[in-house]
Amino acid sequence: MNANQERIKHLYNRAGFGMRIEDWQSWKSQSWKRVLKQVLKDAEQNETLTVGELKAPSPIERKMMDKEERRELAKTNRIFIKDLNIAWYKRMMFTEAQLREKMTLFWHDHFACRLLFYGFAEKQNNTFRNYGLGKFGDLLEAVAKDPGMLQFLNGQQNKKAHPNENFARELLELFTLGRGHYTEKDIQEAARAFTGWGFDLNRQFIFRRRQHDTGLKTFLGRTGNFDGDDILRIILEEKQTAQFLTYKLYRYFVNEKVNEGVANQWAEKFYESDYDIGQLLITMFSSEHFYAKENVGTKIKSPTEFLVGLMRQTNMDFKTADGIIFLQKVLGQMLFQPPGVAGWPAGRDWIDSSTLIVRLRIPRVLFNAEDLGVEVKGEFAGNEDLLRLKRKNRALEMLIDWEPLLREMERQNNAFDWLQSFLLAGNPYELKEVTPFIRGSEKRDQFKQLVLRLLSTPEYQMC
Amino acid sequence: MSTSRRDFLKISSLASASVLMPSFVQKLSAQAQGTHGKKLVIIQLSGGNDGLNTIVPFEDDRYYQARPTLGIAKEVVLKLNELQGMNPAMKALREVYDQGYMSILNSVGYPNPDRSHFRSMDIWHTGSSAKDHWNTGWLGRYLDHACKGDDPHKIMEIDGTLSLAMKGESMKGIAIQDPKKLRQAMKDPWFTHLMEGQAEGAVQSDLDYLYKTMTETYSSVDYIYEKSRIFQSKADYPQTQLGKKLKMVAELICSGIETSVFYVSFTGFDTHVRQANAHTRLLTQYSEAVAAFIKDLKSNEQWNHTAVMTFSEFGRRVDQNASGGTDHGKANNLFLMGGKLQGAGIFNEAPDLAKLDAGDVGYRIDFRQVYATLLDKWLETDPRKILQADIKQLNLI
Repeated sequence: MNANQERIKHLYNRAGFGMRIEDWQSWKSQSWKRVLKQVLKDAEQNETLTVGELKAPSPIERKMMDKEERRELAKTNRIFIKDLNIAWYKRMMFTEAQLREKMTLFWHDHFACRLLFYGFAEKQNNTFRNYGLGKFGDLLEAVAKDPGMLQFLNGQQNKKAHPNENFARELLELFTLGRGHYTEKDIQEAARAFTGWGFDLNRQFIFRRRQHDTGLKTFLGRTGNFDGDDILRIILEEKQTAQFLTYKLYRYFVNEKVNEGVANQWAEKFYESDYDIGQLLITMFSSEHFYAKENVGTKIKSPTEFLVGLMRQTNMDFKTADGIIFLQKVLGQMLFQPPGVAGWPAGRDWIDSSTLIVRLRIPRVLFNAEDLGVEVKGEFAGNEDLLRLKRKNRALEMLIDWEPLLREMERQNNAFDWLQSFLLAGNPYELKEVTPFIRGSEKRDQFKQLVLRLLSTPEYQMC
Repeated sequence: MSTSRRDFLKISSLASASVLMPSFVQKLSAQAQGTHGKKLVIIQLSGGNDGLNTIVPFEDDRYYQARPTLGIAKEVVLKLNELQGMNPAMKALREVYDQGYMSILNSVGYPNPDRSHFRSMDIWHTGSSAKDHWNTGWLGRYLDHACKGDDPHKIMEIDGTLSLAMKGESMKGIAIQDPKKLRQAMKDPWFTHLMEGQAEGAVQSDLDYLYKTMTETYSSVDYIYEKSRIFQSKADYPQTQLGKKLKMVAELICSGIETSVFYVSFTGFDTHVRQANAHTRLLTQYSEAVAAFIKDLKSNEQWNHTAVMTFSEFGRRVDQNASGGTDHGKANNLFLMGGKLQGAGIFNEAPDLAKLDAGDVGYRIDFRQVYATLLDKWLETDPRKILQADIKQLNLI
């Protein structure tokens, strides 16, 4: 690949979930700037992610249900959440709006909620999708009034007489300012301002005036009869919020190690643009810095990037849902079940002895429908773990359409060279080492072996 | 490819096999079979064990009022003192207790407890307070601070995936379920080939880190596999999941393995519905497996330098629920067992059911006090760095 093609590949790796063979074929002779334009244009597509409607019973209806009905509801709910998980995976694998889904995943991790009820999970996920590329202020307000968030961080329990600080604390620590930029007192005052924010029986946002504390509050040095909207506005007035978010987006898209000089400039622009997320991403992806050597092939893929990317690059689709759920569990990133409000770990924290060995073995397991032979941790009863699996359902059966990839390899003068630069990010691998591991004389069979070898490397974990 | 790897490749083609002998083989040949310091075995009861039905306050009427059908009748309780006794399912463990090998700590928990399994388990794994979100585990930080240059198998989880407790900033423990199977799975010549040129140097890039993890995992798995073949236990273990895991731990300890901490999970304690039978079965399995393990270690003269801690992420509500089960609660009892305990017996007073924390047993001992004591008195390292606080220790060991 030439330098321009390397840039296109990098863009696909970072702004999306990896380059497919058809992407390569349509873009190889276009300039990367043209491709970036298309990536941005495709991201404008915005389709609600849903697998249907599941009406939740009101608390009163719930009380009147008998045990059997309740169990039935919990089961249906579990199936809906599982289907939603799978629908999102398929969306990430097949949508042209790659950047929108990549941002949805970013916000799902940033505003990490573990929601038990399908309706909440679906609504919140679409909030991330709808607002994820717009103004951060709009997103923040939508999330702060989102019933899932109100439930997860106890907004519903935040009342004048007994303020609940859970949301206020995470809002400042994890969602906007970051540690060290506010006091305990600020948390308490913000919690007071949010009193009365909740959701009604139809799970719609509601301001319960009588639960709201109308008194004076002093927050980040300002004093007034603030309500929740005021708190959000004040947070956005702080430049620290722009910096906190820009650094986090930098770590997600560019490099785990933040180049502060560059990131501070971007943060400044982000602040001046009134927190225009889409604009910030354009700045990032059009900068020379983004394509600099130190930022290419130097990030460890998250399990989602790894699995979705693997299936995109090899034209793979899964036959059964449970296998993909199982892999999410084993690799440590189960969508809709972040480990806690701080979201998933990142970078090297994805990798330990077990997850690395599993990652290296997955291509083979998927290609040959082998058994991974790994057990996942025992699950809890109750309905906290929504994606329970039966052992027999873990089959990792895949559909692979080899044809486009093999045909492309046949077209290439040096199929090995081309394949490694198609599959691996960053510096090329020394291919002479691979040759002794390719058996047989049938060309296409050799190609398949080569694909398998290259996918089963530490290098393939990088993007 | 990282520069270090490429450079090393050139060397590797020239170097003889002995130069490239992996460090684990060298260690293996250098080290005599024997004892490698103290061992800590942690058994995690996942799901929230019902502590009140495990160590029963049989003299407290409030207990029986709160649990009209689930309460364990006074007559069948295995009495330990005038107030508390074991669930009758724990006969095997009662013998361990009678030999002075067991401390029972009542009301262990932390301030502002969280009733979510995940969050509460995270707090126990990281050793943080309820309002902090740490992303490293307390045993992982033990690796970081006290085991520089050691291999991942210094801390071993008997499982398919590695828990947060064992993940440090720069080092992580190893999870292994079946050494033989894992070794086989990794015996793909392609993997060996990839690692062949790996220099043992400083980790700079993330790719270096991946190669280092891969190499270390290989040598650790090989090391553990070799060790697992040295000693076959003849003791009689129950044929349960926990029994099998503890048997593996005993065999590894008796083989003279370098591992200091073993971590085992036993799941199923989330007994919201029809608790009685399920809990009896779980406690029976737990007690029989642990008793067999201790007996095995004792007969192989390994018990005096082994300690076993058992905890659960929270206890359960005092009141039983309408489904014949119990819901998530707060503080709970914690067991420490060992051949050399100072506080054998019931360590502190029974939970006060007259003074509940919103229907739950409130905490009297912070679990980090147990961690600090184990780190200092057993693993012989400074707990302050690892727990990032100066925590008062308990007179246990």
